[in-house]
Order: sequence, then C-alpha cells, then structure tokens
Amino acid sequence: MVLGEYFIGRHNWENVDKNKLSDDIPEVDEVGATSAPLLSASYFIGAKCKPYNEDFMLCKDENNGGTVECLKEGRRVTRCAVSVLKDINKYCFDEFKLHYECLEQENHRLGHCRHSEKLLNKCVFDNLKLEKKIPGVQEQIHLKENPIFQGSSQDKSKSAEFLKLKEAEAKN
Amino acid sequence: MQDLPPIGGYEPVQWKRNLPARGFRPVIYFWLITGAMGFGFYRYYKGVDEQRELARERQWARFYLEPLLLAEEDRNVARRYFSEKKRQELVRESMSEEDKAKFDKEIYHDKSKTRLPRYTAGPHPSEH
Repeated sequence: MVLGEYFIGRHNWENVDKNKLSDDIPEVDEVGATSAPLLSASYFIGAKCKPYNEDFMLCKDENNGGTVECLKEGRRVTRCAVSVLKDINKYCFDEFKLHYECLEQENHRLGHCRHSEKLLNKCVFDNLKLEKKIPGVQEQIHLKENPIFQGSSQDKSKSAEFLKLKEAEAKN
Repeated sequence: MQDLPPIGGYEPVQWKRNLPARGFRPVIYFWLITGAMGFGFYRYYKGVDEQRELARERQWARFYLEPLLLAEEDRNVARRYFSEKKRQELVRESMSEEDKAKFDKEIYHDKSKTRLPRYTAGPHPSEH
C-alpha cells in the first residue's frame, strides 16, 4: 500500500531508551523473581517489609505519584523484598520450590496448593519467624480444614512424597 | 320378556381400586426434598463465603507485592525521565537564542509537582 507509510499503526514504533540512571543515584538489585515465587512469598514480604512498604506508598501519595521523589523509599522496599526472598531461599528452598511450582501448575490459585503451603508456612515460621496472616478477618482461609474448593491438584500427593523424602533424609 | 337377576342376586361390585400404596407417605417426600435443598443451599452459601475469603487472600497478596512492583517500575520511569531531561539539555545547546528563550519559558505555573513527559521525540520508524 502506498498509504501504508502514513498509517502509524502499521509501523512498529519503538521507544527504547537504554541510558542508565545517573551515578549519584545508588544502584539496587532488582527482585528478578517471576510471578509464582512472588505470590508464594508475598505474605512474608508483607509481614517483614510492612514499614518500608507503607513508607513508600505514603511518600507516593504525598508527592502526586512520586516517581522521582520516592526513589530512596523505593530502593528500601526492593532491598527488603530481596532480603526476604534470599532468606526464604536459604532456609526453606525446597518447600518454597514445591509451593511455587504448584502455584505455577494450578493457575496461581492459592486454594489449590494448601498442602505445600502448610509446609512452607511452617518452615518459614520456624526459621524466619514470619507468619502468614490475612488482615481484617477472624477466620484465616489458609488454615481452614476441609475447604469446599480444593481443586484436583497433585499437591497433596506431592507434599506427602516430599515429607517422606525429607524424613528418609533425616534418618540417614 | 325381561332378564332377571340371577338367583341369589348379583355378586357385590368392587368399586374400590385395589392398588398397593407406592412409596412413602407424601409428607416424607416433602421433608426429604426440603432437606436435600436445604443442605444444598447451606453448602452453596458456605462456598460463597469461601470464595470471598479466597478473593481476599489473593487481594492481600497483591497489596503486599504492589510497593515492590511499583518501586521497580518507578525506577525505570525515573531513568527515562532523567535521560529525557539530559537529551533536552543537549538539544537546547544547539538552539538559536530565540528558540532557547522559548524553550526556557515555563509551561506550568504550578511547580509543586514533577510532570513526566507525555510525548518524546524519536526518529521515524523507517529510519530504524
């Protein structure tokens, strides 16, 4: 088409800017985790990083979005989240992996991965003293016995297998 | 000539149907069905409650992740913002005095907030 030149929708517009942040702004490691591990760790991140998170969100609220103003608070948030993920990886890597792989398989439905979640929560509480707690409710859904919506995942069998392996390892 | 009844009269007519009663008494069916439906409704609303709590769990998970995702995105946006400022400075240096005065003129009176550029200049796609 001759006119194709003028229909901007036909062009693959790119707006790439590869310039780095200036040196006077300290660098920070990005989190780099994908959605399932993040979802799996979210409540622990929320439990540990609450002051930083609230600080950051308040700063953004006060500064009309605060994209430029709240970089410092943002770095703190990221550092804290990275530290939580590092700790989980250090102490509870196997349980963490079991849980986020289940989430990955189960379309990120937390309700379908309760068995591995129980293992992960226990491990994290024992080692990091972080507890999953949903605010504002009496009944914590993740502690509910015999929920109606459990899905048909292999989480139960896989968790049982995991426990068996772990016990066998402990014996040796 | 008229037919007469047989001697001894007719046999009694069976006017009542002799069908065995089928199933339970109606009232038992009523309570059975009511019970089944009651259980169904009970279970259904339990499920509604549970779905609501699951949604709440999902939402709080997202709330806890939001600052971290925003912080990452903000760093990227700020990086581009500073880069754009620097580019504008470079362009400004090669301007004529007239253009420079125009360029330096403030667009907004309100300086209380940072305004991110909505449009940026770039080469035509055919020049990529």
